[in-house]
Amino acid sequence: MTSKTMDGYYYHEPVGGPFMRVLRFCLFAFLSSALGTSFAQGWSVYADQEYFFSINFLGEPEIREFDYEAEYGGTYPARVYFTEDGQSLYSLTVIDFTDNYYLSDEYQALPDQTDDAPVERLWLYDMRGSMIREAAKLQQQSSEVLYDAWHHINQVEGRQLVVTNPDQSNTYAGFYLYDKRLYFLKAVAPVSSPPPGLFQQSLSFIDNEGDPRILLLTSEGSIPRAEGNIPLDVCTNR
Amino acid sequence: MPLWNFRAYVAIVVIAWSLPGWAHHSHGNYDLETYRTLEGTVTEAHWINPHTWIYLEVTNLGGTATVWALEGGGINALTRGGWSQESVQVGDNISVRCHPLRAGTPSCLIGFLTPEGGVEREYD
Repeated sequence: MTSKTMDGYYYHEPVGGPFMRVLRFCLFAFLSSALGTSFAQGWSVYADQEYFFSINFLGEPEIREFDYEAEYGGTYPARVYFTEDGQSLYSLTVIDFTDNYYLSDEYQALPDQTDDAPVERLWLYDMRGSMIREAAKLQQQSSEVLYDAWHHINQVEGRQLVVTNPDQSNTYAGFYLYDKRLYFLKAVAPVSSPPPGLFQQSLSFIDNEGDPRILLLTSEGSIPRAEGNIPLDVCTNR
Repeated sequence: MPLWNFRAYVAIVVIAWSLPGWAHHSHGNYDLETYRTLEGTVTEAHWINPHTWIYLEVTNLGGTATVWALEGGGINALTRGGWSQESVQVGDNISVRCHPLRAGTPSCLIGFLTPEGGVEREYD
């Protein structure tokens, strides 16, 4: 079955089997108790070890999968996690560029829109261009840009964007390209609601053990640390 | 204790003390050169990582109430600073000195907090 998400993408449902759902719930419950919770208002830390992130959500998010059609013609698996609270909307979309899709016959048959010789360039352009593409889409749909600047989370470079929509609500967004995946988070706040930093600024990248993964920010971009990871009690200290 | 052992011990302590606390995210979205003072009633208190959050209803001189989203330190940092989940409760009247969001919407990065009936301390 195919349906359309609030972002205008099409997705297939459901995601994962019963085992994956139970696993996600256990991880959600464990990290909620380990990392601190705010059960009074329903906010908890949600973690996903398939896509290696954690983020605060109001309750447990719904998850939908869809095919992301990228700028230069490639199609990539993607997933959106979202919750709604009245007119407020919180969503994290992960677009997965990690597989070897560019080796497929379908991809090899794509017309070259970049005028670069190796067909692998299309995949690279699709991935590297995805952050600007999604930010530009959000800007084009808005009536005013309130903030647009470089940002980092766990020293993973990205971009923060705050816009006012035609209905006067505000959208708070963040875009981070990490380990060949685009993480695109978006929170829509009605005009009377406070900014949703509780969601927007809570994204963390985690490792196989569920611990936050902090990269090293260099003049060449964000790179893995040679000395390994940083302990949890250090990296959660602002 | 041999002198070289003592020196090594002191060196380790000094190095450990000077290690940076890695920021979870950039604070470039806040105006760090400006402190704004806000006083009001707590409507929500979220003791949660990677940052705690307080929602504060602030009424201006004209009588208009606005709820501000205030970002605090992480749980570990606040606990080390002597704060606990009970320090700020819904319904408390508190004041903060904080750095406003550059977007111009009502959110602020807390530097200092005065709890109800208490004295101002760093909340970071």
